[in-house]
Amino acid sequence: VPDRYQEELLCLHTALCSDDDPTAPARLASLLLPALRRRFGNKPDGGDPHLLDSLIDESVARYLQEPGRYDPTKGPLLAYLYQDVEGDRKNALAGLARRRLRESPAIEVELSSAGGNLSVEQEVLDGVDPFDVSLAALDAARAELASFSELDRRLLDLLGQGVRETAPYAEVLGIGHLPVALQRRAAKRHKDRLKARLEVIRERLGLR
Amino acid sequence: VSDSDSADLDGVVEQLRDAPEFLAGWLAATPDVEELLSRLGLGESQRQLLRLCRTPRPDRFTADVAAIADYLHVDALALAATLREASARAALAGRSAAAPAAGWLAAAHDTAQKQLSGSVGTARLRRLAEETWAAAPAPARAARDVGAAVAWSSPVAVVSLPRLALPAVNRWLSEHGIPRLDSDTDMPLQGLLVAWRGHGLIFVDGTLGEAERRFVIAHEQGHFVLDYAEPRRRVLTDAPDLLAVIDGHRSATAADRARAALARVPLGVHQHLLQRDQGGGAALDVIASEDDASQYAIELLAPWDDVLRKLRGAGFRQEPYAEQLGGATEMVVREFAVPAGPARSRTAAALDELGLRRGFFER
Repeated sequence: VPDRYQEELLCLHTALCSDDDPTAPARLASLLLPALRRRFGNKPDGGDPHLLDSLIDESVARYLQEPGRYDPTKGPLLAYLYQDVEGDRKNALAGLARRRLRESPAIEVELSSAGGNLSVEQEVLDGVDPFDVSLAALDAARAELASFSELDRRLLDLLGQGVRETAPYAEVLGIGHLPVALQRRAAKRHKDRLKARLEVIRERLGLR
Repeated sequence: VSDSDSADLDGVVEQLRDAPEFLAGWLAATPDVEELLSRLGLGESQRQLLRLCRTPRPDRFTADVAAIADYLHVDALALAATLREASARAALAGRSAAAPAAGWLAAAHDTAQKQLSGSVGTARLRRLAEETWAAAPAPARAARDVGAAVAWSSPVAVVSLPRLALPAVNRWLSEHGIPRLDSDTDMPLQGLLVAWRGHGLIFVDGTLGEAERRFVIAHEQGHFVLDYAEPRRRVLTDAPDLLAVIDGHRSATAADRARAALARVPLGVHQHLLQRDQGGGAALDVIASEDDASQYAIELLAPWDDVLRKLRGAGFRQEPYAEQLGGATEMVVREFAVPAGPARSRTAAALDELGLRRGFFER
């Protein structure tokens, strides 16, 4: 793989992690997908023609959502994703082999209805999602507010007020138009991200 | 990326449909989204690349949209307007017509001539108008493109309909999977704002001249800013948990009502401004809202300081007042592309500020 290609991937990875460039995920996907499909073109797929494409799509989507899982010091991005897909492929083939061996009936999964009472659903979901950032960590974060974006500051304000409901976070994130379940997942991801960042600050300030 | 590559991206796009941090997820709740995206003239692969971009962050909307537009070679304003309409359609589609919650606003601008009460404006209105322009890129500000200012500054989309009236609006809403309004009176309108869950749609009569169209858009944006976004911002600041009540996610408890009273944020924070009596008249609070929205509109279109600067340089002092007012009004109409009525009110106020008043024998 040419160095320039690796450099471009690394540059885009950095942009993805820092959230600087909104086009970074699209640029990365359009570079990574053809390369991974080429690499897996001749691999055994257990007779399922869609298996490899699905595994590659899942792996790239996982990476785009959680780019921090890849550590550039341990090797090139393409190698990391190759290992990820390869691991999934081996697992899938092993599972397929076990199922064929047992000739077990397909497992029926009953999916719960997507409808229902949104308010009750939200109240229950909010109730089981305590956000336990300590006041000391919040104080430390406030001292470092200069490094936080405007959006993060507004989220921290809500956290500092002990707001538990999803709607205010969704308002700040600009996703109030989406279904409640999606809002809640996104809000939780941002809370977790801030929580991790607060942890780093707490450690740096010797608050642990 | 050519169209033949789009299939390569479909799987990842599908994987990200539940992730609103990406446009794939952010656009997923919009009814009829393909029709909306088709306006951008993007090929299938470019649409998928658009979906793989990070959702523009509310606090960096202009910069993020500009970056995406540059990447996909589309017009940035068209992309901004499309994203605004997508989120507004999704928000309004989630509204229950059967049980409207407190946080719903519908404000109509009928065809009656509006008389601005003072037209001096206030510091608050000037600040809000300046904030609206500040969100737009420099070329839009230089061209005084009010549609662009609205799209860049607020989660509001503008929809033009020929011969605007409530039945036509209801037809449009139904066609786009959005519950109809509870009124269907066939009264001609110049503009209409509907807002829900932080997003708004401005409907404007497509047969209006350019100056009137600009004023109507600015007026409805005034309703959004003054009657909707500002009270909503107060709730978010002073009692954020109550937003779930206002947005209809849950009904208000006794504790919520007590908290709202203590924080001085009424749960019915947004007014319903559609009611008119049989003669077309409106209640006093509706009239006050209409006047405030018009004041905001004239401040947006013909900023006070800019009007004063123009008039100072025009040299009207030697003429009788009526000629001064007529000439100055024509200049304001020409320079700021505003309708004659609001321009005359603003010009009279500006001349007064400059010490030019009707003389004793001219009264």
